[in-house]
Amino acid sequence: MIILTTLLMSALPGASAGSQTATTASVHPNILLQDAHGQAVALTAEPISLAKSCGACHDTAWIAEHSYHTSLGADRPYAAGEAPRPWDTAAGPFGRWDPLTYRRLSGPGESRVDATLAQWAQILGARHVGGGPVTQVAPGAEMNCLVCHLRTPNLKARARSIDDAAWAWQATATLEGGGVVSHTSDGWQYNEAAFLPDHSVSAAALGLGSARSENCGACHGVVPERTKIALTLSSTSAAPDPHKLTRGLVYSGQSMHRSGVNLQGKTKLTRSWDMHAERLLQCSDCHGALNDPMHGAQDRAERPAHLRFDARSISLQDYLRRPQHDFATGHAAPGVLGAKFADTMKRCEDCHDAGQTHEWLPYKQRHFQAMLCESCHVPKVHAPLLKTVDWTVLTPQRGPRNSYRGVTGPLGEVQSLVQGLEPALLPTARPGQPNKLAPHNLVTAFYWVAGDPPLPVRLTDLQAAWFRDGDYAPKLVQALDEDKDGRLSEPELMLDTMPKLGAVQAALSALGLDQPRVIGEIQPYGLHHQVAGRNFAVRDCASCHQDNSRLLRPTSLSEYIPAGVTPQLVKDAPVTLSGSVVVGPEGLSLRPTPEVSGLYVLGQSRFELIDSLGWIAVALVLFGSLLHGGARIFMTRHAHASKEQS
Amino acid sequence: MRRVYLHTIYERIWHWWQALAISALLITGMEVHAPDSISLLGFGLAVAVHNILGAALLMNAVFGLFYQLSTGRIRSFLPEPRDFLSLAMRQVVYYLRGIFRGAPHPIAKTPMKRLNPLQRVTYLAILNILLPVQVVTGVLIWGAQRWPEVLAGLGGLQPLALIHTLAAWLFAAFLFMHIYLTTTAGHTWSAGVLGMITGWEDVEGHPQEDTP
Repeated sequence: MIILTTLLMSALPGASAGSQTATTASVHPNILLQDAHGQAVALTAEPISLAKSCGACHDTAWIAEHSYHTSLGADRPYAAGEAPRPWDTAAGPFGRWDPLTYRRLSGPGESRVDATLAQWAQILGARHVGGGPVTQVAPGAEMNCLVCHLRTPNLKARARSIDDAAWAWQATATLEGGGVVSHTSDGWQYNEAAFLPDHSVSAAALGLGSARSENCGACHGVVPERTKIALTLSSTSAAPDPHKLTRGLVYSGQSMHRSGVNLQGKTKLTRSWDMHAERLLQCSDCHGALNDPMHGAQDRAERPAHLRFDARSISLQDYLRRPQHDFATGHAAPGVLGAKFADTMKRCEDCHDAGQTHEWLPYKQRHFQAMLCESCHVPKVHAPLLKTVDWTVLTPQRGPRNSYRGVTGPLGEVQSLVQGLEPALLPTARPGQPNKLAPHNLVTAFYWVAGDPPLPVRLTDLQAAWFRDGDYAPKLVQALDEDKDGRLSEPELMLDTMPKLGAVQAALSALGLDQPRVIGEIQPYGLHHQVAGRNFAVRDCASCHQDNSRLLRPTSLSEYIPAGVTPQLVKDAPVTLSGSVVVGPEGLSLRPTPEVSGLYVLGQSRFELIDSLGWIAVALVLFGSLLHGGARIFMTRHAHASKEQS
Repeated sequence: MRRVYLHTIYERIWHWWQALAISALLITGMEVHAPDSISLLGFGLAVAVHNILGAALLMNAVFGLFYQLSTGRIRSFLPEPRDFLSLAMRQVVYYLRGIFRGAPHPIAKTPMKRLNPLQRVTYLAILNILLPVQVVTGVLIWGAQRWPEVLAGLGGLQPLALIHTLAAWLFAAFLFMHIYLTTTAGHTWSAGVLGMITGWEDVEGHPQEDTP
């Protein structure tokens, strides 16, 4: 989509007139793979520099500067008071701490360094396209175009290269297995046969082309190749995707009942995993480049306020030279990566004329005003979803104790039954825009912080407090081992009493941490994929317009409350919880009250006081009538009796 | 007792149309308000029927107002300032005491004075306050999707729904009271009902009665 939209490639300076066929990939001309000095690698055997190779036609420096996938928020430091947490410094992974990944890029002067920039670059490396802040510590870690523009990039080889800190070879490694280069005991060797006489390689042979959904799936969710192989929910990512289980993002046109997932009620799930994937839409069709003249999504900041769409677009030639890699995004919190471009992506209404197709829906405009399309068209997420991340304890795998929604049985086991989840509908909170109900998954995280101002306790400190010589620290075993078998089983891994909390606190304090304490936060994740067509969308009025409606259903946040801490909604969350977080026998849950957000839902919203007064008024009238009528009957009979006697 | 023609054919049609519409509006409104408690039509159909009935009620109210104004019979709804309090007190005393002793009605019914002072005040409030409030809030709720700006200016659906619900309860209370007083204040329980069907009522003899 981004590189190869047209045959006009030939108009680009430096483009060769390579053979072209009808396939998308072959539209791209042959490419001269160059090293950092601009020499053909076929001659020098040096690492490939994509800044040079791709830069012959595309302004790679400009592209890298206009890509939040590259900067990861390094160019978006928080203004005073903007940071959602005291220790957050910038939007995106660069400065915004994430309790799911847990690791944090330490700031200058910190005594307890969690990760230096070099370490951070390696931690994130496999899921980072390169370029941006990473180049400060690893000059060879330039933006790797191949990660997204190669049909089958070898992401594992690239990840290995990054793990080995062989940054200069990370782009070359991406080509391993494609016939151009291979890794031997002598290092990386180019295959002479893959090069043409002019030392270029065939783009078609490389599989070079526009980014496909599958490329996005390397980091985001589950996006399998369009094959007949039954889909499973095991990650398609090159590296573990901590967010795969937050959004239930499965983008595939395969029918659910033909997939390899052990879904509840599978035989009736004849719908595809996502209607848009079924109709062959690519991720970039909605999340396109903002200056793509073929796309129509535009950066609002660049557009005159009075125009819905600025028809004055750049030429294809200019676009292909400088395709903006800040992709259109949907509704987002102001402090997250890409938030500057929030609400620029194509929304449902940009393609669908819902008014034409919802004739059956009473008050359709009112429904459209009050809720996003996903509220009905993502009726259920058929995948496990992360519920709680508890870093107050560490599992034997030295990670957090997690719990999930929508699955019975161990996560990742084929036999585990995936029941799916009817998501919570929460009102969005967008300044200057109408708030609408939208499906969300709420992830609650509990973790330790220490010091003043607070910082999250480092993973290394947590592990040092919890483990001694590969086993749990004896003092913690003593405090948490309820069945006194000398071991800590998973049910015992919870800080539900003061002595248990105190034991871990003491262990952390012994490491020199000042005032270690537990805090909790709730992070909402919008659910905008697994879109269902009309036959599987919510159509029943009673789903929302009754007492036990989807809008009122409590959402479990946590089976227990670590350290008795009530979690708070992340400060810049783009939704309101619209209800109360309550403690019950089944743990912590959110009891929604849509009315708090100004929503009045017929059939479900009540004015208890008015109804009570109404009942009293009617009862008084009936009681008065009975009393008055009874007295009349009595008096009439009494009068008759008196008359007869007289 | 004299037989008096109290209610014209239009008034009777208006009354029963109104009675039917309000009763059905209360039932369908209850289903829309609390579909878990009452389920006769299903939520979607109940909303549609409620809207149609509301339109019918509004139409009837407009026609009724035009009729009352053009014939001058609206005067029968207006409390007469002269002796109003004393007449109202006589009526109250009648309901609290006289009615149990078989005392005659304190105020004679005539075609132009069909309503006693308490009824006039009640109907004045019902027809000039409660009904308009209910109609306006109902129309605004119905038009929420057509005029979202108006709705937003009024604070959203919540305040409208609150007023609409409160007024509905008052209508319900009025309906029961009206039925009771109609069946209890005549010389037989059915006299008032039959009077509103035939137009004729047997009223106690008073010197000032007239017939059309």
